[in-house]
Amino acid sequence: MINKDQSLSVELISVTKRYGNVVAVDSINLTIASGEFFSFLGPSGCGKTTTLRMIAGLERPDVGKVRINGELVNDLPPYERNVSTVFQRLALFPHMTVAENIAFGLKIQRQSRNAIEAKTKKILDLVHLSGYESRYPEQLSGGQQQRVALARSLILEPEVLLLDEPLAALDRKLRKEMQIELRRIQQEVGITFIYVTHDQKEALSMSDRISVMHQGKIIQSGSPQEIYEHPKTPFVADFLGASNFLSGLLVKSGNGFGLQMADGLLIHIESRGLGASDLNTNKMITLRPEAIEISLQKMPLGAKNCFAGVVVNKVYLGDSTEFEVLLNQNERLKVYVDGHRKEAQLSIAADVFVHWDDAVCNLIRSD
Amino acid sequence: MAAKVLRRSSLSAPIRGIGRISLPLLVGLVTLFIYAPILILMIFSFNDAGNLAWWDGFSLKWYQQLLAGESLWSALQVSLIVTSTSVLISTVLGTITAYALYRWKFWGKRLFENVLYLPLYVPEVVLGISLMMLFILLKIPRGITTMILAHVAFTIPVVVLVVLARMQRVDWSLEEAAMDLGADELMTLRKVTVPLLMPGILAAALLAFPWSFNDFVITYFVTGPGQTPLSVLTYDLVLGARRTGAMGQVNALGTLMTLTTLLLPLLGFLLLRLRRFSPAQFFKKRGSLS
Repeated sequence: MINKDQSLSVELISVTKRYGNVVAVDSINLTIASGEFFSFLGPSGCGKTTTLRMIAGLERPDVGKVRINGELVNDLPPYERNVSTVFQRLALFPHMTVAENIAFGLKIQRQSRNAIEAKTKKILDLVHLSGYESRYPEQLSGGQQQRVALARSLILEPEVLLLDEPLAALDRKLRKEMQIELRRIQQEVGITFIYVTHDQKEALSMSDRISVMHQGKIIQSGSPQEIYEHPKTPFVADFLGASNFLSGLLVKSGNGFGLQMADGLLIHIESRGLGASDLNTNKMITLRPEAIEISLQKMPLGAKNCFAGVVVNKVYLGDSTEFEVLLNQNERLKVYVDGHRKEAQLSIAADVFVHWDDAVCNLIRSD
Repeated sequence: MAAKVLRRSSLSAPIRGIGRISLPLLVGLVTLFIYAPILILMIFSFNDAGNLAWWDGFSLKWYQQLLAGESLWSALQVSLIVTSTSVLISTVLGTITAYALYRWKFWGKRLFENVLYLPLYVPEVVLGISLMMLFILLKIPRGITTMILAHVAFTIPVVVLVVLARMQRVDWSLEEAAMDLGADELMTLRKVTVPLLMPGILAAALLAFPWSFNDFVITYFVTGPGQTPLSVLTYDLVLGARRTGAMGQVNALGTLMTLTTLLLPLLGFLLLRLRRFSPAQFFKKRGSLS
C-alpha cells in the first residue's frame, strides 16, 4: 500500500526452501513488477508451486528474503499479507453458497453488509456469474467454480494474485476460454498476477514475462518471445515447443561464422555476439522445426543453409505435418510443414532439400 | 443387488433359483436371531401374568406400576444427567484429540494413539473395578461425578475414531484458503474447520450417546448410593424378580430403554438429513474430478 507508485511488486532474494535433503527451491533471485502478468513455467517438481506458496506465506523460506512492495514478509502469516491465492484444487468452501464464498474475506474484515453486497455484485459481474449467488459449489461446472475461486480472491483487491495451475482440471476448450478470460480480468483490475503452470502454451499466450524453472532453479526469465526464440539452454529449448539440437566446432566461414559438424555439414550462423575467441570451441545451436523449410528443388536465394536429405518419417498433426529428414546419412532434423502447403503431401523416402536462414539458429551460449 | 450378481453368473437355472430363495431366507434368519430375544421381551412386557411361562392376556399393568414408582423417574434423571454431560465433554475432548492426532506431529504420538483406544479392548469389568479403586484411593465419593468421569473415559475413544474417519475425507487445503483470505487460526477453525467436521462430530455424539446411556458394567462399579441410573435399576429389578418371580416390570423397563436408544439416534439422523447440504457428497464428486 505504501509503495503503490513504485513499480516493484514482489522481490525474491536468494530464496531457498528444503524438505529434508531435497532442495525444492534453490536460491532464487527475482523481481516482479507491479501490474505484470508473470508466469513460473516448468515441469512438475521444479519448485514453482513452492515458490508461489512462499510468496503466499503458506511456506517459510529456509534462506533468503521475500519482499512484497518493499516490505519484508518472511515472518508474516498468510492472513497478514496483501496477497491472495487461487488454488489448484480451488478449495471452495463446500458449506457456503457462491455469495458466501466470495464474501468470506470481506466478512472476516468486518465490512458493512451494504459494502459486502455491493462489492459481491460488482465482482460477480466481472467474472460473469451474476444469478449464481445462492448456488453451492457442487452445483457449478468446473469453469464456474474456477470463476468463483477467482472472484473470492479478487474481491479483496490484493496487491498480488497468485494462481497455482488454476486451469489444470478443465478440458482443453474451456481452458482456452478461461485463459482469455483471465487475461481480460487481469487487464481490467490491473493487479499483479503470478501464475504457475507446466503448460508452455498457457504461459506463452498469457504472460508479460516468464521464468522457466528446473530442479529448483530459474533457468531463464524473459518475455514469451525472448524465451521461445532465444532459449538459453537446451532444457528451455526443449521444454518450450520442439527443437533440433546441432553441435559442432565454431569456424570462420566467408565473412561470418559457421558450425562445422562431425559429419561434415557446415551450418552458417549469425555472427551476433561472437568473437574470434570463440573460434574452434564446441558450440550448440537449437533450431525450431517450424523455422525449417522443405522443398523438392535445391533453391532459394537468401536461405543461407540448404542441405539435401531424405524423408524418413512423417506424422500427420492436422494443422501441420511433422517430417523427419535424414541429412548426410547421419543427422536427423525435425521439420514442421503447414497443412495447406503442397510439401505436406511428400511421402517417406522422398529426396528433398531443407533450408533455413542463419538468423533462426539460436546459439546456446555455454553449457 | 445380490440377485443381479447371481443372474450374471454362469450357474444353472435350478441353482440360481435356490440362490434367489435362500439369500432372503438367510438374511431373515440372521435378523430373527438378533432381534427375537428383544421381541420376546417386548411382547411379554404386555403379559398380565408377569412371567415367561404362560400368557395370561394383554395388560399394561407393568408399565403402570413402573411409571407410578419413584425409582424409574429418579433413575431416568440420573441417566440423562450422566449421559448428556459425559457425551458433551467427550465429544469436545475427543474432537480436539482427533484434531491433534491428525494435524500435528508430536513426540510419542503413536504410543498415545494406541493407549487412547485401550478402553475399547480392556474388559469392562476390569475397567469398572480399576476405576472404582481409583476413586476410592483418591477419596472421591462415588455418585454422579464419578459416573460422568468414567463415562467420559470410555466414550472418548469412540468419538476420536469417528471424527478421525471424517477428517480423512476433509480437503485440508480449505484451511489454507481461509487463512489466505485473511482469517487467522481461530477464525479458520470457527468458520471452516468445525463446520466441515460437524457431520463427523454429530455422528460421534450420536454413537457415544447409547454407548454411555446403556452401559451397565462400568457404571455398576462407580455408581453411588441413591444415584442409580437406568441400567443399574434394571439389574436391581432383575434381582428383585428372582425372589418374587415377577419379571413384568423388568420387561417393561427393557422395552422402554430399547425404544429410547433406538429413537434418539433416529431422531438425530433425521435432523441431519433435513440439513440441505451434505459435504460428504461434495467431496465424493471432487475426488473423481481430480
